[in-house]
Amino acid sequence: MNVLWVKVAAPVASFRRPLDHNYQRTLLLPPPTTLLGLAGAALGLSEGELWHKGPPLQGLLVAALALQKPGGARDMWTVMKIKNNKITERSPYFRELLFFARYMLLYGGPTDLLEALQAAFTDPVYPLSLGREDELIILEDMGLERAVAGEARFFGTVIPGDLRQLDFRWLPRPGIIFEPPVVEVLPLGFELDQRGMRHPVGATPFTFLPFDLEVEVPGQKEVFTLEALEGRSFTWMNSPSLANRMSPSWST
Amino acid sequence: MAGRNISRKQPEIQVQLDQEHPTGNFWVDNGLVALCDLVGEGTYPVDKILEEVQQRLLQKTGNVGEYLDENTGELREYEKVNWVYPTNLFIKVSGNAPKKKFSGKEYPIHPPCFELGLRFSKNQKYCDVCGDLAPVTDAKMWMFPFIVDPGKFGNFYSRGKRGINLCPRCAVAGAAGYLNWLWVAQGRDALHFFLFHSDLDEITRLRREVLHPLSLLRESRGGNIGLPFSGPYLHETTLGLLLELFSHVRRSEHLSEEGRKLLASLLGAEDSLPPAPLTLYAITGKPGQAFNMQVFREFSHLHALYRLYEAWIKALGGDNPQRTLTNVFRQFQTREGNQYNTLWREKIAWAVLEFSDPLPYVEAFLFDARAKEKNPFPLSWGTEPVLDHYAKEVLNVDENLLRVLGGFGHSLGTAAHEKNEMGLLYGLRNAKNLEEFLRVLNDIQFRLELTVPEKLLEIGQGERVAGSPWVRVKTMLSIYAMNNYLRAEKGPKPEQGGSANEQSAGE
Repeated sequence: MNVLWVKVAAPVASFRRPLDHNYQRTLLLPPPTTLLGLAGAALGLSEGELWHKGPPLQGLLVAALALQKPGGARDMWTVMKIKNNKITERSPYFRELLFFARYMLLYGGPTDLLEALQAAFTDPVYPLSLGREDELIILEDMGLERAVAGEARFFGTVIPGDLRQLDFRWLPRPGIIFEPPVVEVLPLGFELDQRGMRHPVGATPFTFLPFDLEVEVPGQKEVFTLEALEGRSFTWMNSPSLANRMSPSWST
Repeated sequence: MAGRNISRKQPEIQVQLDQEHPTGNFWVDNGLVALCDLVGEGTYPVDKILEEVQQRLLQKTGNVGEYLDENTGELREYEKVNWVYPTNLFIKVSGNAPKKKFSGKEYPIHPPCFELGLRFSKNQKYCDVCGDLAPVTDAKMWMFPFIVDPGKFGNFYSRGKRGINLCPRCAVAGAAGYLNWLWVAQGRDALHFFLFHSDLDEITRLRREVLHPLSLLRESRGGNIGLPFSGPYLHETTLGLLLELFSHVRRSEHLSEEGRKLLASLLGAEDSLPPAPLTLYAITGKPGQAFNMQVFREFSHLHALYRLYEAWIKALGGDNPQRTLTNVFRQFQTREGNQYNTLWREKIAWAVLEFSDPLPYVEAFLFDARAKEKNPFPLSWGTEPVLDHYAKEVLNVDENLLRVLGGFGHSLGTAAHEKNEMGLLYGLRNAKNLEEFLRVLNDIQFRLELTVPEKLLEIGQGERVAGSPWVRVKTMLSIYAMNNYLRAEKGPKPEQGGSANEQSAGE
């Protein structure tokens, strides 16, 4: 399988957990919908086109690996509430931010789609951001490469499933301090209704492994590696086999 | 708000309550546990469960109101009820009763009914918490306190426009989440609440055997658990809660033997492998008409914190090491008018809970707050052993270096007091780089006639002293020195110069 790898740096990034509103914690890595959204921004897709179940993004697989440990901060923002087309009140909220994050974003799928995506990342239609629209990224490098089977050892990445229910082994290294992994149920996509509201579909549990925590997951299938990953492995977040197993709604 | 009339029109929806299917959401899972404890596992109509929850969340206010009895045409008194504090910050469902005019004034025709009601969609949709396909309701704050009105966020989160969908099970469990929380209030400044999360069986046991007996100890307007100290900030209050819980692990007058053993196993105090990991969710906000959430933290390494606590208790020894340890952390506050400023304690607690470095905050407290008080006291007994142990075990400071710092710090503080050289200690504290630090040590040598231990002058690669960053060495030395300066100020004045101290410094 061909894989498009995109190495990016994000001076500031944030990935709000779906149910957090007035205190918005961030995930450590971009969730699948963010990666699909990024591809859509590069290609210039509208929201309707992006979340359409058919082409153009049908079959696009996504994964992400952290290349370094990001810094963290908490920032206060103000939401302006609009009622009757007027700003009636302001409401503060807190948002956790990641600083100086670097990621290897991975896209898998038909070669022509990946080639189109590669060209789009070189000359994107919309600004590329990870998180909110003003959290722009710097594209450092990218390439198209053939993936080969990898070892089921992961760190600083997202694996589908709840780690507590997976057969895993922690690979400790002396002298490290790490945050515990985060398990979050996230959608694999959205459906847009007639009013333009997004409805999440394909709720799937994901484990976000921090950069310093390495685990071996022997039962993990579809593990790949690339030369560009220098020995690290990844697995797709939205592999069709996983979607079928975990979320019947997404496959229909 | 949907009331009983609306829910009656809907087909009766049954909810399956069991502990086999956790949602992974700490609030809803805690609510499920509370419900299973309340009504037992099984299948129940939504309305029945909601009524059970409601009964526990309503209380009599002690005030009396009047309603018009239509049968007799007379006014009758009733006891007013409201949502129990602090759930009334989240549950804004008010009492409902039709009114009639009587003697020129409007009166309800029966005591107002406070009813939580749920209205579910006709079509099945995916629940945003558990992912089940079921009739859903639009989540409100009384079911899930972490959301806000969709109108507030809908303008820039298109998904937010539709709110959050909850299935019947998650909706009633969310409402029951309030029955399983620990909370502490600091008047109008802060409301903290805490929830433990693990697998449902462990939460159930923790609730029955530990939290319930402990929360019964103090049910007041200030909270439902007694803490050795708390303040308006999250980390200091969390540390207070953990010190309280840890104190019951080895011996407890309030917990049953089973409860004590459970707590010990959950915190990794037993030799056997601990069961499922326990996470503590701590949330702090400002109570006003509603709850303005300000901080939200998860603490997952409770085992490691317990081991640190145990080592501290062992290092302190004495009759009541628990009280000593509590006093050590309680002291980092200053009185400002009628209130206490606890920001230093918050920073120190944050560093400890994160296994980071609390020493700069202790130094700042000592120099910027304590030393500037009118009649300053030294740090409470036990502070130095607690900091020493933390520096050794968590920050990997060399044990010999710690001894040298302790001894020299003692000599330095005493000598600075004798020669009225407090400025020298501030000079030490303010050293911005290694050169300045060495210059201050040089000044100490000449002005106080003390011999600086050689160990402090062994500068290694990366500006490290005996393997520790120079700034950490400087910070520890200035803490010891200032503490001993203050101790000397309080204690009897030595008759002669610091020759004895100098000896210890030269070790």
